[in-house]
Amino acid sequence: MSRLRPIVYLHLLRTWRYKYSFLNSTLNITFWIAIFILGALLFVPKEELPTTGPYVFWGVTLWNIISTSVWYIAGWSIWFFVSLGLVEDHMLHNTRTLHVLAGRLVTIATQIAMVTPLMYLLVSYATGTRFPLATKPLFLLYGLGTATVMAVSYSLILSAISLRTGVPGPLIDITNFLIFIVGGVAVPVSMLPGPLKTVAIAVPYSHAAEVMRYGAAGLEPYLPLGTEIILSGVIAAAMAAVAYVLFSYLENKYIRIHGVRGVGRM
Amino acid sequence: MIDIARAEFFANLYWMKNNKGLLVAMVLWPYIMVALVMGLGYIFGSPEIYAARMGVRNPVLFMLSASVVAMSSVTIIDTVAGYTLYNRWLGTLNYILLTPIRTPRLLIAAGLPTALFSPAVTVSSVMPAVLYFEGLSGLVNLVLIYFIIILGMVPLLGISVIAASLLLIVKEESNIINSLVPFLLLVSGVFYPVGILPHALQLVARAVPVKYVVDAAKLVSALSTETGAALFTVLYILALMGVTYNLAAFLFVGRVDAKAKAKGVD
Repeated sequence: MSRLRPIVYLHLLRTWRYKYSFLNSTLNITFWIAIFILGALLFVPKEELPTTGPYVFWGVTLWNIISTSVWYIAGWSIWFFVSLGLVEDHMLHNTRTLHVLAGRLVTIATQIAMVTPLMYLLVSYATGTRFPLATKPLFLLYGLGTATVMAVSYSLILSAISLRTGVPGPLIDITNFLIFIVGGVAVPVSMLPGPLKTVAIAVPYSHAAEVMRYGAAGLEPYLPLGTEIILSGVIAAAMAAVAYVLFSYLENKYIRIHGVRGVGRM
Repeated sequence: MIDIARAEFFANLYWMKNNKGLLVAMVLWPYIMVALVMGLGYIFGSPEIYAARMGVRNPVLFMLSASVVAMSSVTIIDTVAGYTLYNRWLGTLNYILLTPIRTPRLLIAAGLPTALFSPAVTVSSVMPAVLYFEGLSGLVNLVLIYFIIILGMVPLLGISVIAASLLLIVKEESNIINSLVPFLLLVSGVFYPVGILPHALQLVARAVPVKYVVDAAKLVSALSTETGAALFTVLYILALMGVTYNLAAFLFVGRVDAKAKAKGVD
């Protein structure tokens, strides 16, 4: 607890210090999503817009969790934490990089808390209806929780890789968009065309998304509900374990011998 | 000024050469933008509905042209604003501001190569798709659209310079204006008609050059005597905006420059 407090304080202070940047980021995400959503909803017949609203809203919210986690943890560690040489500095002060980066969850949660209501207003405006947020809140929370664990773990895995080798930023962005479309995030797996259903099932987020959609709009998942709940929980736990083990190995074995990005080898 | 533009051109060229991932991303981006909107659209609705609402013959072709406009706009503003920010991070901004060239000219010169280079890359990237859908006539239209984008880049350069100058006086060393690009695209109706936006945003759209570039792109794809006349009106508005915004940039940046030189930059 005594180690957690300064890390939480660091991220809160940093968010306050960069308040304009933070607000700008909130607007940036909202505007980009608005551009795509307004375009995509023009394909939908007017009478179907009210039923489409909840899927679009929760799909966008989930994508925002994935994307914000990736940029705020992996992006931050690649372009800021590693580049400024802060890994070694924290190690010398007996602070684990894993803890500092996981602490970014504070900033991520604040950002998502600001963007989500704006998204609701946007989708409500575009679909012309105020849809209910949840029909079965517990399932929705479970889906959101497991999706967040998956997103943070994936981001930490990318961060861990960035300690050892370069991670191409533009490709991370492209992957995020691909996951959004074919990964069962934006649309229910059952609505995807044939082979894409298999692809979506292979993407971890799709299981959490299916549980979320069940909790939000009562839409039956593609696989049985019980299977989806077990799968999303197991995958989230497995991804968190992989992130932890990978980070521990890199921090305790690799960096102490070779340095960040293998500089010590030269 | 020409020397700086030439130096920036080579800097751009070598940046691309050394960051092949960035070049690949630039080529892929228009397709990803289209895939994202159309992917969602196809799953939730149908392209016929979109084509009828937008008044376009081929939604794919229109969206590719629109995404070229969008990407070019993103790059020009990011480059000019990024020039100030990048040099601030490097600690070279102080020295650059003290060079004999006037700051507005410097910022315009810094953005010029990108204003030509970025549309060229994105236009080339969508060429295969245009050739596939429309044949040679589509290619001719695309070249026309390229020149319209170049004309649209002139007022956008003025806006970028004003935005970049704001970064000289704000005491926060991050890109606090990067929400400007999606905002301009949002009100320009890149993927949807401006009419679906709230009235206030429709009024703002009238002052945004990107809206006219998108309008012109639409007119080019349906070239006839009537649309030819409308096209010339749009081009006239763009030319007028080019003069107005660049004049405003010169006046505004002059003042900001004086303030920055009096107080210094962080």
